[in-house]
Amino acid sequence: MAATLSSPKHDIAIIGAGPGGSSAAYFLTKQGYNVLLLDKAEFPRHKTCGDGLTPRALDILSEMGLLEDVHREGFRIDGIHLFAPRQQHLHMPIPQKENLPNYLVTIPRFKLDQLIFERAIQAGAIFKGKTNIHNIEKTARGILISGKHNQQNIEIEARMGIIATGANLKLLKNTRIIKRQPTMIMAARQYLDGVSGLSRNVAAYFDGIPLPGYGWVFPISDTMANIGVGYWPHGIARHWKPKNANQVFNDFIAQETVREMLKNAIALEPVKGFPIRMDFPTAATFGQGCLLVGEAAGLVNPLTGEGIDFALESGRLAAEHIQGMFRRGDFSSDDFVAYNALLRRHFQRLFVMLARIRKLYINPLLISRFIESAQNIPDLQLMLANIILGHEDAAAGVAPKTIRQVLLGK
Amino acid sequence: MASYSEAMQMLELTSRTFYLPIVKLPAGLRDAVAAGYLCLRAIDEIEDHATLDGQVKAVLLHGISRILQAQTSVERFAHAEFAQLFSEYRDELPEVTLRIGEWACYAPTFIAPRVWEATATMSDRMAQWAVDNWRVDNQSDLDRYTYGVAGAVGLLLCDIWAWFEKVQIHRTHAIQFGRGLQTVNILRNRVDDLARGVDYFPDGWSFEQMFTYARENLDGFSSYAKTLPLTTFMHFVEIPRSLAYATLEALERGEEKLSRQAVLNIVGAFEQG
Repeated sequence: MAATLSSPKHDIAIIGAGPGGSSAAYFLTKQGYNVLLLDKAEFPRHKTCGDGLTPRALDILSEMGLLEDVHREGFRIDGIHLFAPRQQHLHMPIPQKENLPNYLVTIPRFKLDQLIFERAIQAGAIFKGKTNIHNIEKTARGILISGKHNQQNIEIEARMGIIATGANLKLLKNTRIIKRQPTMIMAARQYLDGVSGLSRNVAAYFDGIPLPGYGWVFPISDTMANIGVGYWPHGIARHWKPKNANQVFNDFIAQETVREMLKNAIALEPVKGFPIRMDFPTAATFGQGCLLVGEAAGLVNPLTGEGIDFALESGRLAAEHIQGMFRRGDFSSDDFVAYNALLRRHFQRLFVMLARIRKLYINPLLISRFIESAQNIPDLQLMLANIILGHEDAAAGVAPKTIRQVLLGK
Repeated sequence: MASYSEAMQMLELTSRTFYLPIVKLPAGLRDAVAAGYLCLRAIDEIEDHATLDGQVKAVLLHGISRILQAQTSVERFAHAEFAQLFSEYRDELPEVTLRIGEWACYAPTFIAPRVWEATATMSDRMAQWAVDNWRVDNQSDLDRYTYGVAGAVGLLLCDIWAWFEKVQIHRTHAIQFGRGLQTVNILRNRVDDLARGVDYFPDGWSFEQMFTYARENLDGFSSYAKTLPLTTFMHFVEIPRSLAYATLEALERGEEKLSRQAVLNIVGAFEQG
């Protein structure tokens, strides 16, 4: 490494300026840390996603002072429609949960990510775009980051790092933080305008789609929608043998109910496919003097594919943990292990439960039963809503009694 | 415990010379140095207090030292003992002194005991100087005074840098730096000190001898510092070092102190650098 005796110029270097990286940057700069935010793109930039913000995500955005902006730029959603394979249909309002908002907001990631990013920059984070990071090494005084900025080789020193590179595995593999290819969800989405029948509700379809998986219609205005599909390329879905996510998408919009909505619609762009990680329960969460946040740590809801909330929450957790590390001042490996424990305490139970629900219920046999039962059992409906929204104590609902209720179609 | 913004606010309030160099340090290093500065400033305010008498100063300074020596960790820090010690003098002591426990705990826990040690030791020495009415008879007394209240700060900084930056700074030269800065302060405050009956000049010493003493120490440090690669340490000492030299030159020209404009120029050059 460069033979200077100078201290790392930055306290924390953050690789990836999406919601996870930018929220961590915001919370750290607010506490007086010198933060360098790196991204392969310049902002604003597009990001393929379902564009939905859960009450938990809105809560953190509110803490960041972004709620008004999100309301202005986004589209408020008050309920959820679920459509089961055998025509069963369920409508649920967004339940009130403690002090969280009782609504969702859809907002294109092009806008949302820019808002969060700008907030980090306003707070004092330094940004370097068009920067591809190839490697990170731990050194005696921190980390040495190497990569390319505008085709030029660069080296950056920092006391420590945060990796927030989303589903892109290149850096995590180069640094040997992850060694195996994690299982990924396949997804595809498209923005369409002139969609008929949109309301202040999001819709999830378990019909005409490989299970486990679902198709979605998320309105982003009175006439525009983010329409997409996500499915797990294992389990029963495997037997569908879809060639790719675009094909699954085309099958989804060809089914009658969706086709009807789209008869006057125009696509605003081609269909975009994207993989999603959701392997948090077994994923690495640190390495090479860096903490991992968001999707880079596999933190995407393994039932719904929602990742923005977990990116924001883990960004804030990482920021708080780093503050503690600087407060203690020993930067030992114990501190990194403790971060892993912190994430496990926060998310492990929820993720394991959500994955279990996916395996148990999101199949042609039970999903219809489940939705049908929920029409008549308010508790089950509430539980279902809580599960979909990723609320932590949703697990309480999956009691053997409930399963019996569903199986017997009470 | 004080928050980052509280500590930096107090720092800005209490030091024109060190505020900028400290806030520009990397986090962690910054917090240790800020904590050290504020703790030492807290006891300095007692030593220099205009109305408290020497015996009271000694009681307070020894008291601070005893409290610090008895601490076992940041988590179990006995904040209440400071409140008790200061209770009779709350109205006379400045905020930076009253909150010394908060500054002591603002240091990262890994290095905090080193900050406490420096503060406790200096506090005891200051108490002795207060009881002796700062009597300086010969050069040995001057060496002892400039070491006790400033040279030792150099040693503290060496240890903080070794902890955070994994670099070793020469202890002898770090002490010279402290002694040099303190002597410049003595020269600048000469009139005020004499007015309150304190004379830091060894018997028979002229201004020229004091100037020489200051320069020898500052130069000893500076010529060593030139051999260091550009480090956070060099960056950190740049403002106080430049201000010290500029003050010496102003005093030698017969000015009372360095002009405000000259201070702003030096600080401004650093800010842009």
